[in-house]
Amino acid sequence: MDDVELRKANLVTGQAKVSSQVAYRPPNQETAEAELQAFVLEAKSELASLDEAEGISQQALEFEFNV
Amino acid sequence: MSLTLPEELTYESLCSALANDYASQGEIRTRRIAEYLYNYLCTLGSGSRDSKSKVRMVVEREYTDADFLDDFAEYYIRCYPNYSRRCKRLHFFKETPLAEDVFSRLVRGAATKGEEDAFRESYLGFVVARPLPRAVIGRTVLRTYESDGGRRNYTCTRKYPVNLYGISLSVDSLAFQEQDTVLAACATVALWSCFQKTAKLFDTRTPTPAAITTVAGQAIHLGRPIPSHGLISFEMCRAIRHYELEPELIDLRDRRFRSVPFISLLYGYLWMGLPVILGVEIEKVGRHAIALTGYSFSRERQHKAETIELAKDKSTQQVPLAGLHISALFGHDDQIGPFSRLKVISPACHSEGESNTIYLESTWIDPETKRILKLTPMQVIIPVYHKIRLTFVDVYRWVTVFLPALRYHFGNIEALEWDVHLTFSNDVKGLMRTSDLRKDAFLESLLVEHHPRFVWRAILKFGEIRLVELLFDATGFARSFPLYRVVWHNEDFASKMKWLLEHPGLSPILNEVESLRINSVRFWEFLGLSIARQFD
Repeated sequence: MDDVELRKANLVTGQAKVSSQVAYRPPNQETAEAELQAFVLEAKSELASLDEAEGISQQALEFEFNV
Repeated sequence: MSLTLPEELTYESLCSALANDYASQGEIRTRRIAEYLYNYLCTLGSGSRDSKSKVRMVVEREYTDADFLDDFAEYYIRCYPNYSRRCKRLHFFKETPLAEDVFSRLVRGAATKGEEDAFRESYLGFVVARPLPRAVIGRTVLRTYESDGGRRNYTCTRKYPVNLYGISLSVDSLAFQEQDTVLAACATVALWSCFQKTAKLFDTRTPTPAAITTVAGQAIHLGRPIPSHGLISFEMCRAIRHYELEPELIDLRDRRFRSVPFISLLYGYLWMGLPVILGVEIEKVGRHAIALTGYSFSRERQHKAETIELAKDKSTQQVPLAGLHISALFGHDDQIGPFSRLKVISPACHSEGESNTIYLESTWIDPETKRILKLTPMQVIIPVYHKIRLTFVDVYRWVTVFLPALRYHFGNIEALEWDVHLTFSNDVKGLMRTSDLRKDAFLESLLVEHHPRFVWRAILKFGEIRLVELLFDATGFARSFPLYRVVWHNEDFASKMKWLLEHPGLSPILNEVESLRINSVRFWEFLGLSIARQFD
């Protein structure tokens, strides 16, 4: 098996475990809506920050590599 | 011309073979790159850093190298010294099967098939020795280290056919060379190495260093392009465009990119074998371009954070990414050597009061204090195929939409992880066939249907267990709806998501996730439909 195959194989190993190993949070019906609201706000904040991650400044284009 | 027999590789024999009329053996002996190559070859030959001298060298005394010939025709032929247009080519083999009598018989075609096979198997690659005063190391194609059980990933390699006296050999590598600071500076040779691989990935051209410098200099160069003392980013982008690719430039100093997971971004492109040019500021030295060729991926996470700057006021918990497993990057640093190691030092490793910026450590050393110098990442330039329009950051935005649902189901999301990478759809299909998916009609439909040629995959895992895989059309664009397929690897997780997506009180709340570029309503609808398609 060459490196590429091995790397690809690594991504599919260990997948046959049973789903019961996935640890879910016990649901709380009473606070569910409030909690989800808070999580949505978190995601919106993250997305707002990621929205900025675009564009190139003139300064960036003039960055010189000269070592 | 008589046959040059194999000789044992020692530091002296290597320096002697590299020497020419303008660079003496003694001069080469003091060069860092010669020492690096010697150590690299010894490790390749023995399979260990501690055990040395298991390598034999065959010197091809008259060799015409196409890249050097172009440089020669462009510049060296017009110089006052009488430089030769021919180079030497140094071939390296593991010692065992290369006894002198065997080599003679091999060349004469009198060797047994077993001897020929062993000879091919023992080939480690070659170094072209240019007849120049300084930049002696020309095109260098050497085998990589072993994968060490999948930890070392030299993804940006390709097969190079080699012919030695009529014997066909081959080596998986990515060509490297030293800058001559006449026709090529660090940025030019970094581009040259990248183009070697993009030619195989996208059927584009493999220009010579002289051609790259000329094309780059046509853009905007206030000084003389030749002798080349370096390129600016704009010129590098110009050269990338000229060779039918598009440059994705990310300026890491720009505050706008402070939330982008830097190591995962590199991993996202390197995974498919696409080299990335990393611009770094070397402490006390200057700005340098390195062609990244792979990464060291550990089973355990190596970092707590991977954004270029650790925000002090960060309160949101984001799902970790695969980049946290990367302890080092491998790169062609033209002043160090091929596949040199760049250790990633993350902000979480710093002690209180120190810099909160991620940096790298290589073999750049302060000549006075012998202290390892810090390499601060400044820019990333990715030469992508022109039809790949979706970026890592675009995909990262989409997976962030998933965040509230994951927080709801898992609470603490530390055990979760997104593996986001660019790939070919044919590779996706190949991996699906051998994955944990049931061999049923759903898998068949997935394999039979038409996919875009380039795909961004975002695989969500809980530890080693795959939960879901999002497939994005990499030829789409950010404000379209590039998500075209969702594959649920875990039925239990799919059922929990189905419950949440159909909950009359909770589902409308999820629809409130939005940003300038993303409206989540269609995203959640698409997830719901994909569950029905796969399981109903």
